[in-house]
Amino acid sequence: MIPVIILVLLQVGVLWLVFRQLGRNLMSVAIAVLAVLNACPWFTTYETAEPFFLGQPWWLSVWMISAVALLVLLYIRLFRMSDKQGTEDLPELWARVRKRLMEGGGEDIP
Amino acid sequence: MSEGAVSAVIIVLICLVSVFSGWLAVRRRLPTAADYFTAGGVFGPFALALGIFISFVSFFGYFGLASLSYRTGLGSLSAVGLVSVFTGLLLYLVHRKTVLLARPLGWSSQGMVYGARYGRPMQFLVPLVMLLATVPYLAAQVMAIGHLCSSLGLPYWGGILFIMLFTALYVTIGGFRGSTYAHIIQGTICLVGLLLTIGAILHHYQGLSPLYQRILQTKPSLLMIGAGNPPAWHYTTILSFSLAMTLGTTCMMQPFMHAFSTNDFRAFKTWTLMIGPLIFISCGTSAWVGLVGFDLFPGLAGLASDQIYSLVLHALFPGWTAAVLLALVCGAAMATIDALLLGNAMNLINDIYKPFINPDLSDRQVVSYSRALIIAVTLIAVLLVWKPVIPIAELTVFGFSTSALMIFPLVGGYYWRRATSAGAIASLLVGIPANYILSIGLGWPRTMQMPKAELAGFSPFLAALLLTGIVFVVVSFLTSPSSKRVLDNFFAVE
Repeated sequence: MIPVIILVLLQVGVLWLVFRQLGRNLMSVAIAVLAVLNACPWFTTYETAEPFFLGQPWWLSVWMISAVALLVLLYIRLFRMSDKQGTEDLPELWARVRKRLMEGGGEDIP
Repeated sequence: MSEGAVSAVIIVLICLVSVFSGWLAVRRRLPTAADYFTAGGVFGPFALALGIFISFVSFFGYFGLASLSYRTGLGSLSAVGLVSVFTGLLLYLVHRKTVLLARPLGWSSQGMVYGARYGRPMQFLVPLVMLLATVPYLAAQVMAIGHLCSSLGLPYWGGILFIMLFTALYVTIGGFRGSTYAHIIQGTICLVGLLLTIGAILHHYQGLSPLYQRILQTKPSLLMIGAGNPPAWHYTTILSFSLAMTLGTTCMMQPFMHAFSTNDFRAFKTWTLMIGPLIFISCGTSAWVGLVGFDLFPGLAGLASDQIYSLVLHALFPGWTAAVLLALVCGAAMATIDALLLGNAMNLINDIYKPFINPDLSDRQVVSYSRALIIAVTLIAVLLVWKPVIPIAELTVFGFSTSALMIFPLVGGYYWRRATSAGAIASLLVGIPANYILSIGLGWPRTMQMPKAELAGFSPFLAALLLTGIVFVVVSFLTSPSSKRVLDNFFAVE
């Protein structure tokens, strides 16, 4: 019961952060779910050491596959998102942040 | 030449190259305070990725994790290895705002980040909490250097004093720039050593399957989670370990230092995402070394199991090659130690001494005093391991669990407008003592991440984490919100 409560809280927290940073779409949902699976594989039982992939216990194989899937999705999302948002140039972004801080409002900074 | 002599030569070479890095850093640019702590953003994505990887891997990623795997099996990967991609994601999500706001708001220490959001009391509190979090972590590294030297036939204390002297020397001279130069070299040679170790394991067993088959026949519980009574690894223990390590990593000083020195957004994305695979290579190798150790050297217990990495390398490689590989591990410990020394100096001088004691400190004095602080913290770390009693893994995880309790003020400060100064301070004043009292009182050191009946099934760390979160949210709602100016600063970027 306790791990379930913490995992639900963790899932909600990660989903909230991912939505804020990476946008509200299906890929963000997939990233958030995989992230929590990666933080703790809560979808399976473990009291078996049956080999699955390269002789590894199957729970470990599933865990590793979820980690690789998460990494691939993150690379795609982060680097595709940057193209859509325009600048990657930090000094330019910092200049816009400074301007906004001085003005106390204005354009949104990505 | 004997094995001990070969190792000694390699260790001396690593030390000399590291000191040369420090000297090179000073030669290239005069150390202003900002340059000393952030290197002026001169490093690219791969240098930063290697730097943060090697500054976190430490001896825990080698000796500690191999020992944990030897004693408790593959579940030990839940502590860091398998959750490292999640850690990378958290680093990106949380520290994106650190990167965006650090230069415009003039941050160059951890306390400045919290202080800008929550005020001066929080700026004062943060370096003290980080000192509490990093001292066990630092002590574990120093202790492990002694173990390494002993296993190589070198004197325990002689090795510690020699390596600590050189580490303090190059970080004192070169600051963040010098330590990053050293990290690039240390990270590269450690990765080469890891790949050679993986190759040797695969060669020795003709693949991983035969290794797993042998463990399956002798002690299958090492390949399971939930086996044994009480089980070494199950849901609550995994949650406790993995959250302590991922959240602790996010709040430690290394990501802040690397975020302050990031000058390019693509570089930031690259280093946050590269840290996962790099840490997995390191921790996966160590976990496999632990299993190999169980197959070849069963029956070690307690602190003796911390020697398993060295025993396995000696079993898999000819004498002098094992000695060289073990000496290379020294680079990982030096990298972690230098990051912690520099980080603590950065925090104590910028967050306590300068704002509260001597506001008129010049740039040159900041650098000089930081150097003195590095030497002082080095001496404290050496004194703390005068009589080692706790295994490296447990000591490290305890340090990370203390750091992890800062996650609520950090994420709340960046992303929750209702977070208040009183909420942040109250959460730390309640959470940190609670973690110490519960961990030491109920499970120190072996079972501190395991569920306790007295805590309704929570582990001491999970109970302290939950308590910290509840106090943060409740007190924030009960107190007045931060001023509009502060909120405008922090929410100018989304």
